[in-house]
Amino acid sequence: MTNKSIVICGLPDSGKTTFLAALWHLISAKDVKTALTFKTLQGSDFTHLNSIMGLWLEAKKQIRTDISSNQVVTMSLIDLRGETVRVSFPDLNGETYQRMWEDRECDPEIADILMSGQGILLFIHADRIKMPGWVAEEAAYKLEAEQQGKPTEVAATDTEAGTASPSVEAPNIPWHPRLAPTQVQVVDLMQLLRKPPLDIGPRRVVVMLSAWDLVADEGLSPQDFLCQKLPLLHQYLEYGVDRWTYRVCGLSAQGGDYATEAESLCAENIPSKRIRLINGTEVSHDITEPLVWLME
Amino acid sequence: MVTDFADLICANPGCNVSKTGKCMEGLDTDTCPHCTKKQPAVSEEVLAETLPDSPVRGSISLAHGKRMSITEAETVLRAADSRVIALVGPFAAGKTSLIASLYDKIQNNSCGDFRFTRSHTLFDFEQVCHPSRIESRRLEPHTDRTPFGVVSFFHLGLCNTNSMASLDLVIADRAGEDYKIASDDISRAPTFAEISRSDTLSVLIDGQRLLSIADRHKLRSDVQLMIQALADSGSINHCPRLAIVLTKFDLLESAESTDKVKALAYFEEFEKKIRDTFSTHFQDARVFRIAASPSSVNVLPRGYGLLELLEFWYSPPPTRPRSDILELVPKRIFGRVRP
Repeated sequence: MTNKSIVICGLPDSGKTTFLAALWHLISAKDVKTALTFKTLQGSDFTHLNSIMGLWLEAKKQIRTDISSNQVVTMSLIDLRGETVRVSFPDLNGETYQRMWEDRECDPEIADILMSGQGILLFIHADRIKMPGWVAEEAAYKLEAEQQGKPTEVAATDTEAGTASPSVEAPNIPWHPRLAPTQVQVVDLMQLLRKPPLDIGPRRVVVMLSAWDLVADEGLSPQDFLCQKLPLLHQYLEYGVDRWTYRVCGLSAQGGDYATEAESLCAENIPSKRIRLINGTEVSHDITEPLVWLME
Repeated sequence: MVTDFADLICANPGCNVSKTGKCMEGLDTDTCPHCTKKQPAVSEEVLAETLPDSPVRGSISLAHGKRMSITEAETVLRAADSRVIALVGPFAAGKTSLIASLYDKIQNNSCGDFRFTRSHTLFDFEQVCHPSRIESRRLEPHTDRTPFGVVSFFHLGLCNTNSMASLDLVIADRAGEDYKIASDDISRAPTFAEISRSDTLSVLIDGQRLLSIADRHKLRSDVQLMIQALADSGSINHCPRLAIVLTKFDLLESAESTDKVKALAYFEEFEKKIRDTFSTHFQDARVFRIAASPSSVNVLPRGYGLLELLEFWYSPPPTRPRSDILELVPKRIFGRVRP
């Protein structure tokens, strides 16, 4: 039996825990053919996994991962060669990663976890990407809208709560690192993993574009989506000197919007089929496949 | 009233504004670029409230992501192929705006054949971009002043997709006031490490001041004396390339036609003068017109002209003059025999 560890990275609300819940159901339910299969319940505590899986099956929003708990879940699985492999997934709170960007520090315990992973699963919520927006462009947009008689209270780039569009009433908001675009925070996180004291050499990374069902209408492949919506991250992975070997997938782990589609999601006879993984042009339910690639 | 001007400090050591309340250059103290108010002493209570939470005990420090010190920049220069870019110009010529705009162009994937490979200074890049971003809620783009007296370096790793060659740009950020002081007191000039190590010296000419009949001669004098100070101090004996950069070109483009023609004619004569006067100190002098952060993108797009400047910065480093190359002459006659 071999032991493997995969680090699940991502900013807050990027879909990390939902992925783990869906993965645990997929493996334990055995309804769908998967690259990694269930071995045994022995040897691990499954309280956390069973808890998040319960919420997933009921199509309920996951409770935010407690920053102090730093759950490390372990699954005993069988790979394609029939060998047993124990895979550990640290389920860290997104604030842990945000703190690395904002405060430029992390706990020694977190550092050990980050350095233990053979591969990285990097989660980005595809529908909550904060892009850079500029005052000059916004002013030109508003001017054009005014000339056309359109309403001008539209922020150009950001749908996240707490961010701003220009107004006369509240000028000059001071800078805070949290205002940085998503791609900058993620690139810096990846760079930190390739610098002392966290560097353990080149690794594989799968970029998981979560909530893919919300952006699928745009008609882009996950690779094209990365290239167009997160160009800094794409260029860093493609041309960077940090030598990441990467793949990019679209993932719909919930299967739909819990707020509006909970009933239809619960009505699915085989819940594993709610899961959709988009890898290039292929669509499957098997979210263990990227894990196999990370562990190769 | 005395206490009012006693709180003032001027970057110009010859100015007695803190004693007399009068600016040496005859400017209003609110508009003089060298004059600032002393910062009030901060009480420990206030300091405790404003400082970020102290690190959790035992937490591990990660790379800071801020502008690099000279020592940190040297580490980058030793590690990989690189170019050192020095930006020289008076206060508010647009040095930091240029850096911020270049970073934003890279981030927006609008830098031609150049691709981002890495940056040690992402944290500070974001900070200097903020006043031009929507989140600042400013009505016009803005750039915060660079504190004077210190130099720091931004880092941008790029790959050219044509040559697939990667290199690191190390871009010096120093306040214009420091260069102004050097032209007043040449003994300050040799301390400009970024100049003596530069591959390209980029001299920034403020397009807004070129439009002002009252100000353009002073601008010309200031810039010319700054370069003269660098030349006389030996800081540019290594013959870097010279980029003469006309900044805020959007303001010239949107000016009255006659004003624009006059300003451009003045600039052309000015840049020719620089090239002629300092021809022995530079290699491959080129002129660029940029609009790093225009207040209206209806005139010129943000970052206009920066791609051409970046290509110039990125091109192979200038060959060093023969006198710079250390020749070892063997002591024995046999060793001096050439084939």
